[in-house]
Amino acid sequence: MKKVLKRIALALAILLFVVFSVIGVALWFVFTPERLTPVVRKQAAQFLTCQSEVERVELTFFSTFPKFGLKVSGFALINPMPDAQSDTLVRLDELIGVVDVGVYWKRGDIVLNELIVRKGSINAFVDSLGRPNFDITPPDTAVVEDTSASSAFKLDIHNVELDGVDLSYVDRQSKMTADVRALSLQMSGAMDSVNLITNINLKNSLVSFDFEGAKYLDSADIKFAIPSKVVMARSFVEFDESVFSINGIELSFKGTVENDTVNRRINTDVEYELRKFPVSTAIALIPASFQSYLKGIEVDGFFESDGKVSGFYTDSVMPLMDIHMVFTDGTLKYDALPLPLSSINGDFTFYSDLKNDAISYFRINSFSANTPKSSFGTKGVVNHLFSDIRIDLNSQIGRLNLSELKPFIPEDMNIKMKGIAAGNVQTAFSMSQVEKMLLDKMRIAGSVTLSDFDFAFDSIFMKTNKTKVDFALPNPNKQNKYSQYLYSKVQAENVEAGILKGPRTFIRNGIITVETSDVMDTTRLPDVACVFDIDSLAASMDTIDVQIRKPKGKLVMLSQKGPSRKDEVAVTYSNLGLNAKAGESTVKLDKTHLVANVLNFMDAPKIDLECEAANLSAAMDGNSVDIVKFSINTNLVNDPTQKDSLLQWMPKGTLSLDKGIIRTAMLNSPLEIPSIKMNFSPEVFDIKESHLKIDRSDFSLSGTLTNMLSYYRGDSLLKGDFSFVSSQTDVLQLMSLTSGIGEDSSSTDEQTVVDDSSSVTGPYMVPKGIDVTLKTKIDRALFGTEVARDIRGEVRVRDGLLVLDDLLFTTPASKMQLTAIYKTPRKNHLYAYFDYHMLDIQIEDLLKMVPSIDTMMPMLRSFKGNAEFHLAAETYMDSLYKPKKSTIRGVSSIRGYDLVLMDGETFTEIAKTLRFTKGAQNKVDSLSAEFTIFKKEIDIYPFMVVMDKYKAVVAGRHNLDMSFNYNISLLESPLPVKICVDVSGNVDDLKVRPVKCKYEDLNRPVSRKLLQNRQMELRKMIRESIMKNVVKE
Amino acid sequence: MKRIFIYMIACLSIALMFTSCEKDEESFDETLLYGEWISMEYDSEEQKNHEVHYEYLSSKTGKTWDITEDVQYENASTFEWTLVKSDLTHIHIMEGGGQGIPKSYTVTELTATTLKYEDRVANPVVKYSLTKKK
Repeated sequence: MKKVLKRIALALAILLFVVFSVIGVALWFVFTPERLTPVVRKQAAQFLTCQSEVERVELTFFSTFPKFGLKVSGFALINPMPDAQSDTLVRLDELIGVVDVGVYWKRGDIVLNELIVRKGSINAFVDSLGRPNFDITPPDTAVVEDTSASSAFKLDIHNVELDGVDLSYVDRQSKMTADVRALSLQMSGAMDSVNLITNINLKNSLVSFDFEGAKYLDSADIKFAIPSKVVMARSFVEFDESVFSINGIELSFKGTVENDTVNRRINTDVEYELRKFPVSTAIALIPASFQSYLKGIEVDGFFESDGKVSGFYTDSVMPLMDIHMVFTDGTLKYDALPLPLSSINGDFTFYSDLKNDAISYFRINSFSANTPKSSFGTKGVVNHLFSDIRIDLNSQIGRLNLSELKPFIPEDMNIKMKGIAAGNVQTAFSMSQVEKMLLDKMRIAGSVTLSDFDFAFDSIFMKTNKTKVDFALPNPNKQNKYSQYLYSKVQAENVEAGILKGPRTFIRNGIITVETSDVMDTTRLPDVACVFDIDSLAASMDTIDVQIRKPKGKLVMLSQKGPSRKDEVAVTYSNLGLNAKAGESTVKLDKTHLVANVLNFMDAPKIDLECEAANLSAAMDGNSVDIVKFSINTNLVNDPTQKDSLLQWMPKGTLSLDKGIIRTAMLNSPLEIPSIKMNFSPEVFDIKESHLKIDRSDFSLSGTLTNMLSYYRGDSLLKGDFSFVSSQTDVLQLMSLTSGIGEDSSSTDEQTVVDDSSSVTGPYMVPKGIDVTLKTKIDRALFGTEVARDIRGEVRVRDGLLVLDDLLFTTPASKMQLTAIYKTPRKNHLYAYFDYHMLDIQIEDLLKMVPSIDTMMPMLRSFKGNAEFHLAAETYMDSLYKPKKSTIRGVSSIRGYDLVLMDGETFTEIAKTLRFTKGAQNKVDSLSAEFTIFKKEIDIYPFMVVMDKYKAVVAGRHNLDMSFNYNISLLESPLPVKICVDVSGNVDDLKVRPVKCKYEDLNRPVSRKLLQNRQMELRKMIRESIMKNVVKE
Repeated sequence: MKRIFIYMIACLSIALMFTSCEKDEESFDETLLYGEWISMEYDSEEQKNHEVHYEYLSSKTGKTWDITEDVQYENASTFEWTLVKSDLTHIHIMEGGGQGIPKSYTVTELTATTLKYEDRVANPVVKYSLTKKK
């Protein structure tokens, strides 16, 4: 076996030796350069129209083993043209071609095994008339053979190399210049009548390209390696793993491209990857003519991308692009952007066929950037790119230094802002929604925390150390179906807001939640739900300060909702404490709870209100109110047809008040209110229970006050019917409290004839416009220093008229009946009427109680004992209660029994004149007198005094100036003659003189004279008229 | 007897003489009273005159008011009056209780423009002089 193998090996060696010997002979002795070169030159001259140079042509074998090659050195084509960049079209240092001669000889296929070009230059030129310098072959006049029947053409290029070749292309007609330097390219491929398979590897080239004077590439370092297969019949190109690089920007791709002539479209299916490259490199590639678009923009960073382009391209259809882009470590300065951005990192996906909205989107997988003091980021999707662009973003504000927003604020707006904002914001909206401001269609939500926030706009300011604001649009809280537009929740640690030198508010630890319906709808008010829970709230304005502890509540405002389709506001509110101060005035509250509901508030509000407050304390101008418990439950109905704002509100409800104290300058003593309970309506005030105390007065008032609304309208009097029960009442003090109610300024400001001192308080003016009746039951009434007990009767105040009607009461002196009228038509014209009936009174007590009686009947001072006294008197007075004498009227009747005549000065004088005995008892059996008062005149009608053995008639006139003129007629006496005297003058100058008797027949009716009868009739008339008012118990 | 007769004659003469001297009471036409009269009444206490108005109506009622004391017509006091011969009686009606206060005067002159009467209860007699308001 070895032997066989040895012989075979030996045979092969001999065969190789013979072959190489033959080849060597052929190369070195047959096909020498000297023989081949002229042949080639001759052929070149035959096939070329330009001058050609071939320095040397040699046949190679060993350098192109195992193929034979043809090596051409010093090859040049010279085709000078005017204005061409060179006379030389082609100049190559070395050109080696290796052709598979055997295949061509056998099948007619051209198999170019290798074509190697080393060092050289190619200068292509087209002049302005379109004549190229590379049109160097003679016109082909040969008959075109029909090749369809012949065998298929095949071209197989195993290796084409260009190394160190410079290419230049100048086209004057198209104004285009291309220049490739140091071209190093390797290409292989195969072509037949169906396919073209190539693998081009551009290892190196510096490419410049000008077009119409614009430089598009300037020594761009372009490399690529593109293996491809072309199905020529279909214009189909399939790229295998290909790489293209320009100035280091490397693009790798793979896929297919087909020119579909049947469907008139280009079918693509290409995947690519653009490897990370500096953006500045790409920008440098932008032609200078386009650099203006980047004016003012300085951008840097790294960009990379990958993706796929697939689908059809026609005039109306674009292939589907799935492009992924990544931008890292970027910086951006842009003139329109006041702040430079740094650390820009973005990851984006663009998916679109540039046609179909349904599938197209631009997704921001992530984006973040920094400003000098802030950082932010976002991610999301932008779709509907070709119709109404919709943006759905989730943005994070890592740290936003608000001072950086200053450049974005117009300078004419005096806004100062600083602080830090951080949080996130989710937004989803379309551009049409933005253009039309359709906020209700947008979705905006987020949470932003403000730290050390300080904001000022002109005089408006707001400060907070930390406040978190959550917001959402629309409202994600579906519980409140009416306010689904906006949700906002503010959690503040410390917030101060207000106007410089104006009102300001301070909130500490507050949570405020607001939900609204569409606030942009200008056709109606928005629905609002606001819930607040605040630790403390303080507000101030001018001298007003308010501090509220733990205010908490909810406000719901609905517009035309519910079954009634009416506006509605519902409020619940509570606080643990409230302090308010306005100047010297203060208000304090402990616990307050309020529930209110307002229906139809836009047209005719109907308000239901419940309010409870504890420990209310208020003080103002020396007046104060303290109430331990206060509650009101009311509903108010608005009547917009009323012009008067007060009449527009119709309240109805209940009021309860416990343990109140009112201190006011109007009262010398505090007004204590142990309790008040009442129902009220526009027309009726129904006081169920009220207990009041003031100084020495305490009373319970119950009853109804009616016609309140009518009274306010001026239609009728305010009517009241009350029960007034008191254990003790200071009458004068209560009168001073009600003085002047209902007086208009014209009556109170009228000119008076009083001195200035009276203007301080003025007279008691009976309230006008009211008709109030008090059914009194007073155990003890104080009139100045006087005390009356067990008062029963009615006190009625009617439109400026005060009537004490048949008031029965007991004084220390007597049981009394009093009817009194007091009216005040004018401040300087006051009317008083008294109708006294004292049925059993000591005369001295009577004089003490009614001192004016001493003026009217001074002789009463001379009597002591029980009497029955009746007096009706009236007068008008000026504002100082000084009687107007011209209006004084009065009648009186007095009856006395078993009276003791006192040893008075007047009696002594009379007794001396009448010669009374000193031992006589000064007893008067009876006294019966009537007298009238008219102006300053007091007429004492003749009355009889019976004493001892004397019976006398006294009559006369007493004047208010204390002068008098009495006639005393002694009807019976021990004396033999009748003695009568006139007593006249005054107390200091008393004149007694005997006169003719006037009344000697007074006790004898048959003997009376006409005048005496007349006077007796008048006495009877007076007596009857005054007695008719006596109430019989 | 003669002496007694002489005394009786003397007494009778004296009686007749006095009887003849007593004047008959004068009568006045009350219609002359109708209308408004003004009296200037002196207040010795205040030492000034008061302008007092009286209005006599045919219904035998009247009103009086004192301008000086700021009493106007609408606040005037009412009275009833009678004039019998020369006896002028006012019964002033109290506003409050309706009680009457009689005042009697003696008219001494009553013309279309002048009214004079006297309060003879007073001592000394008080004379009033009124003039008709035009």
